[in-house]
Amino acid sequence: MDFVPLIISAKLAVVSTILLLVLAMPLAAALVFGRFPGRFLADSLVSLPLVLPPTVLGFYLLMLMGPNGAVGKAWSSWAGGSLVFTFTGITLAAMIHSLPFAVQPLKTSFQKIDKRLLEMASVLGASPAAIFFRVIVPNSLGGLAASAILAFAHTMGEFGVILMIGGSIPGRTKVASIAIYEYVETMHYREAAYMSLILVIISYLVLVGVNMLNSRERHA
Amino acid sequence: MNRHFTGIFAVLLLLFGSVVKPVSASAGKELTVAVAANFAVAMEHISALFTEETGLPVRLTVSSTGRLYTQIKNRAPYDLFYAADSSRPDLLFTEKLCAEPNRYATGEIVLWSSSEEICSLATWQEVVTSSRVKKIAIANPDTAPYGNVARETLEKERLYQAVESKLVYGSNVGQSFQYAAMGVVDAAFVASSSARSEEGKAGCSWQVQEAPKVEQKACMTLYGRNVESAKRFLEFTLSDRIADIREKFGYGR
Repeated sequence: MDFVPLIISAKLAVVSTILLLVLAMPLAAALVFGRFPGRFLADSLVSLPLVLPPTVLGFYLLMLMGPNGAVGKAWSSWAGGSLVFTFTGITLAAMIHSLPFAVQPLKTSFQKIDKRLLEMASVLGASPAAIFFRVIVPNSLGGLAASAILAFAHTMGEFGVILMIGGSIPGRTKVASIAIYEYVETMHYREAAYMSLILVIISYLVLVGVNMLNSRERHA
Repeated sequence: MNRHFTGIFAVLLLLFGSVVKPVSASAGKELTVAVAANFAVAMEHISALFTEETGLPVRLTVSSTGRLYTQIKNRAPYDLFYAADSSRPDLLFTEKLCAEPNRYATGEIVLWSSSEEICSLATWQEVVTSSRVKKIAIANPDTAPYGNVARETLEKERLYQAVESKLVYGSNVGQSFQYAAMGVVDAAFVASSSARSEEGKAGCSWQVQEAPKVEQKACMTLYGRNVESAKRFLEFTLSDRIADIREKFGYGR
């Protein structure tokens, strides 16, 4: 069995999860604490990747990120080179597809924070940034961990979107789920079974981790 | 509790009744044909002609050869299998799931592009080695027969080393064409049938004379229920009756 696709999946999951958390924290905070018109519209937009078929997402991303698409054009004039069929491209796609998985747990734990804490911090003269980093973040570490784990797991299993925009390039964009698909197509059922088993074990361990975090939060 | 069970049972009965009935009623008549994606459009025309002549309805299932093969190994309810290669039907024959396969068409690969700038180049070798061509799509050589032929030809022409870093792999020859049609790659190795389609006429193509033809075989599943009409359909697709359709979609016999 070729382990490279598993390593690429893991690398993709780590990179996109870290970037996603950086993006999801202010986003979730804005959706929970922000008072701006159309907040529920923004909220729905963030959840959209959850319900869209990966083929729809993949097709639009291919158009947007291709050399003729808006994002693809901007990228090639800024960074040179193409965005589709690259590791950067699938990272971006995985982030978009996993966005709701990162934002939802954060939102839930932000909502649980006692409002009086925030008001006190504000009264005592803390800036919004200080409130975010010194009150909100330390009080939602459980949610942060849940976000990270879910985004990681969802990206490990990412298939449809990457099938559309990855180009299955060995060593670069051929992730584990694509490799399994190709093993089955080429009748390498044994390799397919082994790699699938590894993904099942990883996914199960991830869910065990989430449940442990949840029960600990409930007891705390 | 008991009443609940009766209710659930009644609902299930209704559901199954409505699903099972029409299938079992038509099982003795309707032919189910599994066809590889590259031949799907031609097959739609062929089966329409067949139904017109014989009155026998045909239902098509379109997928990749590899996936259809796996399904047939697990006794998917197909009467006939039209593959994009010869190896999968041959395998099913040795595995005693299929009668002896017959060649029903030969296909060929062409290089196709939608970019006007690239269309001014003269040969496919010039295109793949041109510095203007950054990305070339090819069907996955390990899973798709047309991709395999493309890779073999690149190797034979000693171009593979130079071109490998430009290659992007579609899961089948259709996706390879789609990438080029959307302009996300500069050129693609596709089936000549794609180049002859409506979409294909919007671009330009180069013949790849060095490439061997792709032999496409069909076989009748040995567990299929509609033996008589399956035989009729197979004979029909091997006959000269469909020569025009084959030709129109860029296939040889």
